[in-house]
Amino acid sequence: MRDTRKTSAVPLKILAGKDLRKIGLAVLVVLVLLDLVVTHYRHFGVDGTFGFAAWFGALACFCLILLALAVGSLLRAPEGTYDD
Amino acid sequence: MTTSFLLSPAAALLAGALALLFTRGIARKAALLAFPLLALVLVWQVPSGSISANYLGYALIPIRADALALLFGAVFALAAFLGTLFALDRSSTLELSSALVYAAGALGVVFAGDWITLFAWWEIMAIASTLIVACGGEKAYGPAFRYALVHFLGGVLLMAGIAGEIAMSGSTTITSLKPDTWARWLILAGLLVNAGAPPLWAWISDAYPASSWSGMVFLSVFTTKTAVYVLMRAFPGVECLVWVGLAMGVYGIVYAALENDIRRLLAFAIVSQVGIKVAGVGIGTPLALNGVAAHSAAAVIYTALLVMVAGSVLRQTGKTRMSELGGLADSMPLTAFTGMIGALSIAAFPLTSGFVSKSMIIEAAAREHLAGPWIALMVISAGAVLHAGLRLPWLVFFGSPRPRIAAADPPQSMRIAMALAAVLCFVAGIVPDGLYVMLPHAVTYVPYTASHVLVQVQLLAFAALAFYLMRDWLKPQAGITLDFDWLYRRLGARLARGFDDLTAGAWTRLVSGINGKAARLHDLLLTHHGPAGTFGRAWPTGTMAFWTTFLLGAFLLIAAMG
Repeated sequence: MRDTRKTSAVPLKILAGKDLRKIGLAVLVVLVLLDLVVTHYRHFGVDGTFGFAAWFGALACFCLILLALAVGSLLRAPEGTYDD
Repeated sequence: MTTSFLLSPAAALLAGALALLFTRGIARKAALLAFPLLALVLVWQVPSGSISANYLGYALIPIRADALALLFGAVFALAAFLGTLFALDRSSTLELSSALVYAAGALGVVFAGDWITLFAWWEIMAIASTLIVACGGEKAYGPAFRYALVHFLGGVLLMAGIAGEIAMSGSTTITSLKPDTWARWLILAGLLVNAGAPPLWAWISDAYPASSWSGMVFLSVFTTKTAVYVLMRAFPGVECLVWVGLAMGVYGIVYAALENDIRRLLAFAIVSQVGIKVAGVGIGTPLALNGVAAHSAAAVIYTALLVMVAGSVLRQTGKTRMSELGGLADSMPLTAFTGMIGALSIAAFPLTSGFVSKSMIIEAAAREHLAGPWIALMVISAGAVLHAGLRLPWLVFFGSPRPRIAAADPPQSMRIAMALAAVLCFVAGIVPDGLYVMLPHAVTYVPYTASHVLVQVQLLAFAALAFYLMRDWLKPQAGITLDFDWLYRRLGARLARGFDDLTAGAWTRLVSGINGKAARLHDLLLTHHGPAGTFGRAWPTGTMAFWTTFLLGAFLLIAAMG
């Protein structure tokens, strides 16, 4: 196994870069704006409205994280819980 | 019939398992690769229709081939090949032989047309997979034992249900059933145990991560997917499956979001993905069943890929905890690259196999106007970023190393296996028609419309944004999340220990009481019959003669008076 101590973590640098954050934000904005030109089929009314999948995705993930934190606060235990 | 059976894909894998016992070196490696490939070829040689036999008066259909069986058969044989290619350097003959027997069991189930044949293969799978778990080392013995207990319980439920179904209907043939008798509910329960449904879903996260770096690849492929396959055969459109599947989907995401161990995280991700398929079976329309079949095929490959990636990290670094990993993209570039493809696939990003398959199930829910299930499926779809979709690659390959780890990509055979699986993820995603022609129903679904693509990209991109903004809350923490298995691993053990203490005390009191009474009886007997007792001591001869004379005299007197 080779030692990677001296190699640069290129993806890490890119991901940490402010430029990438700006690019990411621009991509998100463009993705929402694309709803102006793409027609969605509505099965339930709310789907297909402007930016639906965007806010739904963020909200779903936000709620799941909160649920995970709630479950974690109740049910997290030390790693050796079952060791006898 | 015999010839057809001997040339079945399952028989080829059984022969491969046997061959591994008698070969070494290059021949062993050749056998490892050749027999799964032979099984893949034989899948296409299985004659369409069914082959019947008779056993103890029961009509058996050991081989029944149709589009659904051929799709699952081909994917299972392919996955067995990828698994053996990945495990080419694994020295444990027991694990690899068991893996081939396990794959044979899965193919046997796929081509089984009757419940008795299915059950036989089902149990072969249970035994072989238990051995694979146990090959993970000494620490795996406990999980393997619990795995065996859960699967034998599932087997008992299934067997009882099959016996009841045959007794009531008189038919052994696997057909579409409604759960309207106790026997059918038992069959459904037995199948759901293997699917990882609540409340016994913890066996997946308990046993799979305990297996070796190669063993989990096989485990991740067969058991849950064969359960989904049989559910498709036997219980399509059963509504309760929708809710069971959605519960699995949310559970898997929540537990994976909290998990620190990459292989346990993947085990939760498997439950979540299987949940989507179980929900699809519950929806039960032709589009939903097509989606389940396609998603099963896709999931077999991308799950195997992600598990291979995790296995490579384990083998090369000896670590599986994300709190101890990070920044591996530099030192393990191919592993990181293929891992990203697996992550994109499980997140159902366009151009990957996950997108062209998972979206069919969600679309089926929408077309049936099932608002609740549709919302839940969309949530589960977005939630993929919280496990293998983003959190795992982020923390393992790009996160800050703690401390920096010296590692390298795994040996060539493992790299080729991961690369092949990654290519398959893309091929199925770019040319979905190759997958769609193998589906059981005529396909009327077009995945690549502007609307489908944009909705999915928006969903994932904004879910990723939410994850990015809240990433500090989901930093890997040491520890585990308690699950239903707490009931039998901790509460059950405590109850058993309490019962043991209680019965031990009662037993002690009972034994001491009996001992006391026996001692008193002994003392009493000793008093009267002991060496110094009235009846036990040696009497003088004169006394003996006196009493004998007295008794004889008394006898004569009584006789004379009579």
